[in-house]
Amino acid sequence: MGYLYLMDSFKEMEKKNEIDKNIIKDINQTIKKLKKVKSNIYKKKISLSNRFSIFFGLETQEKILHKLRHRVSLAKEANDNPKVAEDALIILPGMFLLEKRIDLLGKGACKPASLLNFTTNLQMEALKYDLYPEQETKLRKFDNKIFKQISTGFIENVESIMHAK
Amino acid sequence: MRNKVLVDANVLVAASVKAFITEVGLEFKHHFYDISKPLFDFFSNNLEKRIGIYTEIIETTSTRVLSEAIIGDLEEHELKKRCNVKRLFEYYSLILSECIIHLKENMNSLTREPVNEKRLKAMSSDILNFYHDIRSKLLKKIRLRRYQKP
Repeated sequence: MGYLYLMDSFKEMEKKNEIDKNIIKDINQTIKKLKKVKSNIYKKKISLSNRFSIFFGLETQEKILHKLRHRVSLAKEANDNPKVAEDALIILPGMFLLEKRIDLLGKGACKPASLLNFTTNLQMEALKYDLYPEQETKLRKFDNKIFKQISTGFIENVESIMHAK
Repeated sequence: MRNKVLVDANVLVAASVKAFITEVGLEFKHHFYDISKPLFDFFSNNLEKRIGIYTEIIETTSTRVLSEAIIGDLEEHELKKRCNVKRLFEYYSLILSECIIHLKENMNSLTREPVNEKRLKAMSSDILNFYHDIRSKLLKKIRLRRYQKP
């Protein structure tokens, strides 16, 4: 199931002013597809920054779809009908474009920073329309040492970039 | 309230770089987080007064800084060649997502103001000329002092 199909379905629901829960099945299929692509990304023989920007793009799509599925499943009870369809129709085109950008990165026609930037902008837009989960991510095995190393490096980079601008 | 505060990208980013890992009680934040965040709390508490403002450039700069910082860090890891990629990606993804959520929260307490690009371009060339003049005057003074020293 692609985003164009999901968009058509939500358009139909918006017209009818009613949410069809059958779309959950299609959302699940899209999530499954994304998970499969994500699990192969670790071993790809491209640079780490390219791999991460693809990973982050895929994970963002997954999170948005999880939130969309959650809202669709509770639409009737939460009086979210057809608001959820309207919100989905605002965010899904961005997800479609993100998918295309990931393809472009694979062909070398897009830079990792640009893809990452596109993804973060999509996250911001999804947050605006309540289509991005706000709770903290839960990690199974947590390595304090590596996390501290990464977060320190990240903060140092942020500061040096800001200083250079 | 007539007064407005234009929040620049430095402050916006500093008040957004923070993550808390509930399971282990681990927190990381920008060095200036504690002094920047109260400003946004103040804006939030006085939302109807629309005190805090930002522009489109400030927004795009802030998100770009976060993305570039991650890419820069990953390039360093690439050079070291010793890393658990899966774990690395999980952590970077968590950090970036948390920062974006905080950035959005902070931006919600601000009002985006439109900018007249034509006027901005005209003004920025005047400002650049102004700084250029100061720089050359200062350099002249420094050279003169060096020359006058016995």
